[in-house]
Amino acid sequence: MNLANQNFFGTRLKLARKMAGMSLQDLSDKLGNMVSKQSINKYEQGLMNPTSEVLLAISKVLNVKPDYFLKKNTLELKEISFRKKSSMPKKVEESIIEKSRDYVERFFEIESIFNIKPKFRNPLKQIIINDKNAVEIAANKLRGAWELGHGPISSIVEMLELKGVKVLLIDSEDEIDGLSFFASNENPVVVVNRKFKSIERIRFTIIHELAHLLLEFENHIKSDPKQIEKLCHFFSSCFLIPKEMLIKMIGGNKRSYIDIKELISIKEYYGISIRAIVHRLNELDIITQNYYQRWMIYMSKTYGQKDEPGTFKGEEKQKLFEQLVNRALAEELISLSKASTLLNISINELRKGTVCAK
Amino acid sequence: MLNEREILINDSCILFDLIDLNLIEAFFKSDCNVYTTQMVIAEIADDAQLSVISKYISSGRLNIDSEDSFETIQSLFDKLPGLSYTDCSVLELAIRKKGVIISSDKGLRNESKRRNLTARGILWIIETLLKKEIITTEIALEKLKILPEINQRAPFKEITLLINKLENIDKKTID
Repeated sequence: MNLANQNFFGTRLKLARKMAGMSLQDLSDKLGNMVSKQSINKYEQGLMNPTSEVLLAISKVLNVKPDYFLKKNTLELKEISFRKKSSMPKKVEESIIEKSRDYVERFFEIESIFNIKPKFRNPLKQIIINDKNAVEIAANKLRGAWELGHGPISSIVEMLELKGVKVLLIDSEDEIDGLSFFASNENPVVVVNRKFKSIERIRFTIIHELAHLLLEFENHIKSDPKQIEKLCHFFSSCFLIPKEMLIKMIGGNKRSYIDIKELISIKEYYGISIRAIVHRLNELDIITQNYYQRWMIYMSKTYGQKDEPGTFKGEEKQKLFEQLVNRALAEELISLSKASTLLNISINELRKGTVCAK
Repeated sequence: MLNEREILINDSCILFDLIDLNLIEAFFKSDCNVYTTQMVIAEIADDAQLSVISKYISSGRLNIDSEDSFETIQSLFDKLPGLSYTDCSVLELAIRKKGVIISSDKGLRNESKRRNLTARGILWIIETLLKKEIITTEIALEKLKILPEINQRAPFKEITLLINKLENIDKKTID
């Protein structure tokens, strides 16, 4: 659905301004004496069109390509759900939403060049989540529906991209973990902040955000955001390492003592943090609540609040979008300038990267 | 053959190729009527490249058009999903001035041809500079040999054919 067809330039200008976190006055100041605050307001209201010179100056200041302003259709985002500190300013929140919208719009644009019409079907639609048991069932069902087996998932991003979920990894200094939303035509989008985060934390957050999109909670849970957060966390654990595999790797249904090396080995194999594994062991009653708490204290004292020993050797990086742009370029479906616009990189950088097969 | 009365419309790719091949001075020696758009200049992000281009803008050898029609560019942009706004500004200028598009981007050249506009590339420039004796065969060959290194999207097969052609002419002249 389109937000505005009539005054598309004005609509886009306003969104780009929000993406840059600027007020009308900020933009006018950055443009020097070129355009007044009143003129920018007129552009946004659709009362005036800019000259090419002004369009270029605005693009430069707002750090978007001129093409951004000429898209007639603005993607509608539904069910936006944020994981952030409550103190995060509204301006920052809007900026992250607009950056995400811009990425998904560019993704859809390259897909349309190949006539790809992404259609996502939620395999968990029939399950109503009322407790942790239902979450565990849902996580197993998703692995089954997506034919992932019980083993480790080498790249969560790559796997999700192949299943029709768009993933955007951002580097934000702000206190945000991630967000999720549905883009037009019910396409799920997960955005995760990777700045200062371990790969295990990134993987966990991606699945947590996915859970927000795929799980249908019972009414009494819907009104309890804290409970939803806990259940999405639990879903992430269950999905990243299925119960049967964890029991097999830990060697039984009850353990009174666990060596850190055992946990490092599970962490490095499944790409899930030691803290999340220990939490899960407690949830499954494999270790007692008391032993779990001792573990948490030990981890904090030995490694600090966030650090841990061991690292998953995989990589989490969005690839599909770039692959499609490079393919379109190689097949001459788009020009070099178009590719640089889609990838948001300089044309010169791109010019040196594609080998012509002819 | 390059005609002095012809209006040439350059895109940024061709300007990058000419700068990297160190042929920009030779190109502007040819006394042709060269135009480009403000959008093309905005695509030059590298300061060193921009400084080279600015020299030709200041001396009036590269004209920057400022009479573009926002509506026409917008209309082209809406119809051509494979082209950028900058490409469309080049097309709009070529249509308005009945000019020849000079681009090393195959996507833009193909679209120009579909619209019955003449489009030429870097190999045409090298051949033309050679015919006008602005560069020697030796220099032309040297530039052709480094072209695939400076622009990995350059048409390798056509470059090889032109190299063979020039080497044979050179050989026959010596014989």
